Amino acid sequence: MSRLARTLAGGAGVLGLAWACAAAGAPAYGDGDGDALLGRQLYREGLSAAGQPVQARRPDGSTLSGAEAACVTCHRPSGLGGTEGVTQVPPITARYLMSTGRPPPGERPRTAPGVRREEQRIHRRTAYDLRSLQRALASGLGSDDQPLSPLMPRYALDERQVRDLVAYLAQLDRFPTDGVSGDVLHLGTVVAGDVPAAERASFEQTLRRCLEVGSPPGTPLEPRRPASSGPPADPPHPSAFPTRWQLHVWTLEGDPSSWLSQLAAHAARQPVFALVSGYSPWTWRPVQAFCEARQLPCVLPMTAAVDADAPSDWTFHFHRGVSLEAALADEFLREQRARRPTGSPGTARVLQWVDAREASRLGAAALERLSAHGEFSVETWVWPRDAGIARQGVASLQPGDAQVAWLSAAALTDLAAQSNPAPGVLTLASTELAGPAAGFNALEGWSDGLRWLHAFDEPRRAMARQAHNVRAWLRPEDAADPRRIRQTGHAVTACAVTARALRLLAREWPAPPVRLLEHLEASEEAATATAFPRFTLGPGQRVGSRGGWLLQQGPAPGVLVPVGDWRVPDGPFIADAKPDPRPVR
Amino acid sequence: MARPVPRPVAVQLPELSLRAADGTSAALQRVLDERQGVLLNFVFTSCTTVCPPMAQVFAATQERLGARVADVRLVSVSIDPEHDTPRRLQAYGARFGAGPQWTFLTGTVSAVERVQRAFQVWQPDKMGHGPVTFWKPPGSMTWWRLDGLATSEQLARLVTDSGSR
Repeated sequence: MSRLARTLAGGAGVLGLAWACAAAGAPAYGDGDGDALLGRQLYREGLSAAGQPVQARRPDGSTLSGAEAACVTCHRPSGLGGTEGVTQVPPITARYLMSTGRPPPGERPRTAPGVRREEQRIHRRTAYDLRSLQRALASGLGSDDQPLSPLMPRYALDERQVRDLVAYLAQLDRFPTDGVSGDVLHLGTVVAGDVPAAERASFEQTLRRCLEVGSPPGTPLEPRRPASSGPPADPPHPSAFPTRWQLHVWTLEGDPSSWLSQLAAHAARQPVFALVSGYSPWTWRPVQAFCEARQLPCVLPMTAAVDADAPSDWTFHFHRGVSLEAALADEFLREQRARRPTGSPGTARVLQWVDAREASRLGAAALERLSAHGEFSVETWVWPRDAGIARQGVASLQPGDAQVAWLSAAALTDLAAQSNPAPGVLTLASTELAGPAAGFNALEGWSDGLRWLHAFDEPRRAMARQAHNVRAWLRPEDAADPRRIRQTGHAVTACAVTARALRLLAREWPAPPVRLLEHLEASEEAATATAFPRFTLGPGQRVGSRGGWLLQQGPAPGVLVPVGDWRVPDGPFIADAKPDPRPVR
Repeated sequence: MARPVPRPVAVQLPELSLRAADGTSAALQRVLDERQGVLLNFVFTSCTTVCPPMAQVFAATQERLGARVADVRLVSVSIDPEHDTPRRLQAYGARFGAGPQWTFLTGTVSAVERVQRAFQVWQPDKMGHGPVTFWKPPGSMTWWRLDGLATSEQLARLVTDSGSR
């Protein structure tokens, strides 16, 4: 056993790691005398034990320090590296670093007559020990005495710091495997109890069929009845990636304030590895809070209730829902304001209508926050509570003022019937809350000043494209239903993106849930059936589509057309996600 | 480490405007004015591997040039324009200590794609990009392409050897 192994082997927490190391043919490394917390600080933040930024330099002489020099920047939160262009960043968790390099299991490189293939360096180097690692960090010479990549900084770390770092790299090899039972991978999805039965059935059927296509051949997706109550005793880090994927539908009933406990109960009955899609149009925050607290990957649910301020390290969204619509409204209203003649009266009034749905209130709250710039003042009225004074309230708006409706289609129609804004008063309406805009005709009396906040592609184009891409998944009776087309396309997309990321995960299994996030970030090519003009992800990115249109009544009845270009609001600024996996001790 | 060797490339600049980090519209041909020396790269702010070193090289080039940094314009064009809004580019520039000579540009997806195609670096997937730097000497219409991670010393020398001022 090497000096480092002797130093670090043993101690609490080795049990979970032992299997992983055995799988890689490497000795086990425990905490030893390295301080994993200090190692984490070094790895993730580039800070020394004293809290000072560590200094590093590249072979070209450029220097970097602190966060810029932190290992996590290139080697990722999982420590498993990745590929960008032709640049490969190798995995550096202890089980990789402290064992001889080898090709990924099952990899069969293509061969050709007369062509000699040379194995990549990282797949044939010798194992590192404490001394060779310290030398590599300081001088850039690898364990095989060859220079490391010119992208790899050189660090002046003392032996203590290297021990701390290795203790953290060993900790990265310990992770939960919730949702993995032998050869079965358990996946979940969430459906709100108030989703109509027909929509729910269609959603579940689509997701099951899609996961069957995406999973290894022969995977049954019907959950088996648990043999006993309570969580199954999952063995840690099964040796091979599960070939059978089972989907569990978690239905959440009643008041959303009880959803967190319902989610916990579902997870206790059957832990899952990730939540795939989900359908709860008007409330999602409890589910997102659950995913964040449990460090559970939560992939592309269908909901308008996206709170742009909520932590989202473990949650991917198609778009920012009503938060994006609020940003579109804010940008448009400020532009309109800027166009007013000099000397126009002071602050414009914006009257916004909300109903009891969380998504409605989220949109209104987001616009209130954005209006802190003071270019207009926001008043929020509640529908139908304030319906009795709607006529008077709307009539009090002056040219240059606006109203914003976070309402259902039925409520909008009622409001339009009861009020008639003066010429020059703008009305902005949420299509998230009123339904796919393609289904709308002009609202009587509002048509001139009415603009739809629309965070999808142009209605006709999106629908035609999505309908084409999901035609194999649509029932004939749904083929012309815009709402069903969008739902089906987004369920298929969430499934396809997740399935692709899981297949990538299988190639380096065992791997932690945070690695699934890293693969999800690079799985946008599987997103072929969204309602957006484009959908892209990237490192730390958690939202696939970032823009939207303002739509208005077109020349033909029932046709809405864009006003100006696709808009990407420049704010609110949302920092890239930095998931920090909790180790299993 | 082998340094990238500059080679001349034909670049036909498209007539379009991008958005600078301060939110203003910037005509590309004006930003890449032929009278001035220009160092240009393509980055995106959430990139974890190649872009930070490229930005660090630009930052180090600024330092190396000292007062002569006024002789060159550094330009970084985002290849992830919908994510990299002006506000995000501003934060990215601050992260690397970008001076007034260093311009960050974003724009519509189609405009940024046209710029990448003009410089022959367009990839359908932004994760497929590699380290490339372009250099245009002052008073010249010729662009030189440096494939690989250039060094700040190399870039600073291109500027100082170009005889500008």
